[in-house]
Amino acid sequence: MSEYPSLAWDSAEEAYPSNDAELGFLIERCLSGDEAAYRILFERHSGLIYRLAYSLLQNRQDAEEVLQDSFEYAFRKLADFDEQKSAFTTWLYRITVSRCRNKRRRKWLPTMPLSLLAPNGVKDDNVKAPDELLEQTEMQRTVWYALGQLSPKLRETAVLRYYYGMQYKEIGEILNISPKTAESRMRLTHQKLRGIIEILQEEWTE
Amino acid sequence: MDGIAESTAHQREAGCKKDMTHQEIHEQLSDYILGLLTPGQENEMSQHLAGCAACRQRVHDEREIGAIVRETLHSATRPEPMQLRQLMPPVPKKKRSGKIAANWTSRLAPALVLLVIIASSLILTAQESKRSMSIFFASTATATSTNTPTATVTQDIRSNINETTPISEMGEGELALNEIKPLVQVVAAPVPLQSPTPVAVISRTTTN
Repeated sequence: MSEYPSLAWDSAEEAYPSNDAELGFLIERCLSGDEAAYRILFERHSGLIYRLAYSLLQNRQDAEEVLQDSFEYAFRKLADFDEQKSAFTTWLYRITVSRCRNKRRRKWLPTMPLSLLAPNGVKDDNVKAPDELLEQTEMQRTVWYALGQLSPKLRETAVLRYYYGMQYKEIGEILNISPKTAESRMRLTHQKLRGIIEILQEEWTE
Repeated sequence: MDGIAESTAHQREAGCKKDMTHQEIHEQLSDYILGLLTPGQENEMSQHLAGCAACRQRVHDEREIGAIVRETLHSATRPEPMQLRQLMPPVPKKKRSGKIAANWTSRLAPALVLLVIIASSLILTAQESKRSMSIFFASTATATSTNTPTATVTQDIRSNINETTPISEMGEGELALNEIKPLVQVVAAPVPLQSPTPVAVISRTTTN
């Protein structure tokens, strides 16, 4: 009842991930040096990975770099993937989240939010709404901004839970935390997000 | 879930007032929509929601947060057509067997060098041992160098040994080291100007 419905991809760029047997065969082909198989593997998962990176970093260029870095690593380490330990997508998400954290750490100093320096009313220019959001509702712009106000840890939890509809066990595997910790973070995320959205709605309607 | 039952009774009486008990229910409503309740708690919550319109509205509002986040991310992060294909990293080169063989050779190279060094040492040691034996029992071995400074050391080894005495007839301690008195003579040699390194040449002579 409480699970969010699975994602309905509306673009040919974002095909559904294949089933385990098909995926296993595809990985075998990749490991045997089949370049076409690598391309299929990339096309089937690049949409998921790009969206995850974009959601976490809220910056298109950074998301593209993370996408490339993540797949470069995944291709190179494909032989190390163990389907007994985790699903392929979980493995990919873990790689992506790790690279997003690295990217954020490297950019932290030069992009420290202005709101930290001047807490009274200065909006964070680094969390800009993407061009696509200009066509979206004011509520969606508000939510995008609110997500940017969450701490990176809480944003990770929010994206994995709300957008990808993951169970807490899988969230824990990706973020390298226990399922209980994932639950606690999600509870906090929900409360904070609700509060931020309420405040923003009040401020922006004034 | 006693709190829920208590609150449910309370709501019927007071119309869902936001007292502490009801606040707790609201907190559990968040857990409910986030999937954090046990099946038993979930069941009780469902029963409560069936009879409480205010809580149903609250559940709807809570779910709206997740829904709007999901819609926002979905529309905001949508890639442009063909955008991602250009971002595919290069496919890693497959390791060929020749490369593997080359790797093995490079790994074995230090071991091979070590083996050659050990074998050479053994051969040289054997040759040196053979030469020492011949020096001892032969008469004189002299090494000279043409353009190096030399110092000649003459060592009388067997002067105190009676060669006519068979070993079996020697008395105990007859061959003690202090009885072998080496006679050392150092002969200065002219130093050529172009000599890079002085070399000492040991010359052993047998005297009677």
